[in-house]
Amino acid sequence: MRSEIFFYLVFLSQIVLLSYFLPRRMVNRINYIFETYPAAEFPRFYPLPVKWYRQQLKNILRISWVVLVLGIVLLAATIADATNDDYAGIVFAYFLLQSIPVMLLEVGVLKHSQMMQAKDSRRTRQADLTPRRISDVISPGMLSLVALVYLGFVYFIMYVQQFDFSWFGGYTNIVGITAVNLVFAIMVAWRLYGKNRDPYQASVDRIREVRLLANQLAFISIAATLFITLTISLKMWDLHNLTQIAMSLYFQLIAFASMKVMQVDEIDFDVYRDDALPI
Amino acid sequence: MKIVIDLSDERPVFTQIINQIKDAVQGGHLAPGTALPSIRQLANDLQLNHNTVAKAYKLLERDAVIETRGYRGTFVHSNAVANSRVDLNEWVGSKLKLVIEEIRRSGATDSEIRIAFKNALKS
Repeated sequence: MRSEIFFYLVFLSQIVLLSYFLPRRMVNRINYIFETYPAAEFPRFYPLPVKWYRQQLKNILRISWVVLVLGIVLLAATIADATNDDYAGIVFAYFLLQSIPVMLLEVGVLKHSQMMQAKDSRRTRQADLTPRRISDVISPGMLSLVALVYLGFVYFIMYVQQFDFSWFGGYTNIVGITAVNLVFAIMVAWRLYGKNRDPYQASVDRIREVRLLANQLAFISIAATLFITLTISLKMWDLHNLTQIAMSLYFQLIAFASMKVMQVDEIDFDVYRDDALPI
Repeated sequence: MKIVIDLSDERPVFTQIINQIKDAVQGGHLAPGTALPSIRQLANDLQLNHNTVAKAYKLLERDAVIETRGYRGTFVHSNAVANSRVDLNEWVGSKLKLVIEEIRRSGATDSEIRIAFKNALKS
């Protein structure tokens, strides 16, 4: 009974954090940019009309409200339903729903970047003659920690593989985590060496942005690996009713990690003025 | 150290890259042994085709202004300061001018010289 109450509290925290606090924080940050760096003074930052951006933000907030209400209803239903104690599936499905506003925001950012590139008519281009390296964006200590956690996970899976558990996925767990790490590595390399999404962005801001992304992904990689390890362990110890709590806490941890963004006032917005020098 | 290219400039983009790297070496902004960005990084940052930057790097390497050290990347050559003063295009131009003047003195027409030059390049 105690674990059930704890689950309700954790799930309520997930609902509020991901469907109320996080979307509002994102929207407030963007609104702050609109007010502090208006389109009249920083036209390059607004390849689309401000009205379009505001409409997108309104849609994101509306969807977040719907998901929030749905979450409260789901929570009430789980409290009322005394026959079931396994809600891991519900927690996961609800997390996917909660991700919709974030995905919409990402789609909006992508469109914003594409339009920015399309409207960039400058005939001069500038670049740094300094090579960017992976060590510029992530410390060797953090990389070693990711590698250590990964190797520990491989050892753990090999250990569990000795036992006969019908539910155990075996080495596919290693394949899954390896794939996640590879995707993360490709994402960082793409952002570090590939074409910049924002053609005006100052090079120092680009490095800071990639550094933030690399550290967030390293953190998520460690969290995901530990979460899978914990899930398997809970099942081994026949504590599967705690999985839903661990899952919800894991999603909230990821949300916390993604909340860390570059401070708006530290970004060089002068590059978005009409009379700015190239890049 | 930054590199700026102007798409409106009548000089080809790869020439602009070569000239700016040579100028930076001579001006002491790029010391021998300094690491340079990869072809991919520079091409992406300047929003250029990779082949354009690769051509500039190849010509700079031929002139021993830069050197590629395998997987470690591209670096400014140890004799880059002296080598960057040599302009191979200028040298080729002056040599050709001497040869053409001599041929003209023998009475050959420009069109004969052109055809002969074309054939000589083909062989």
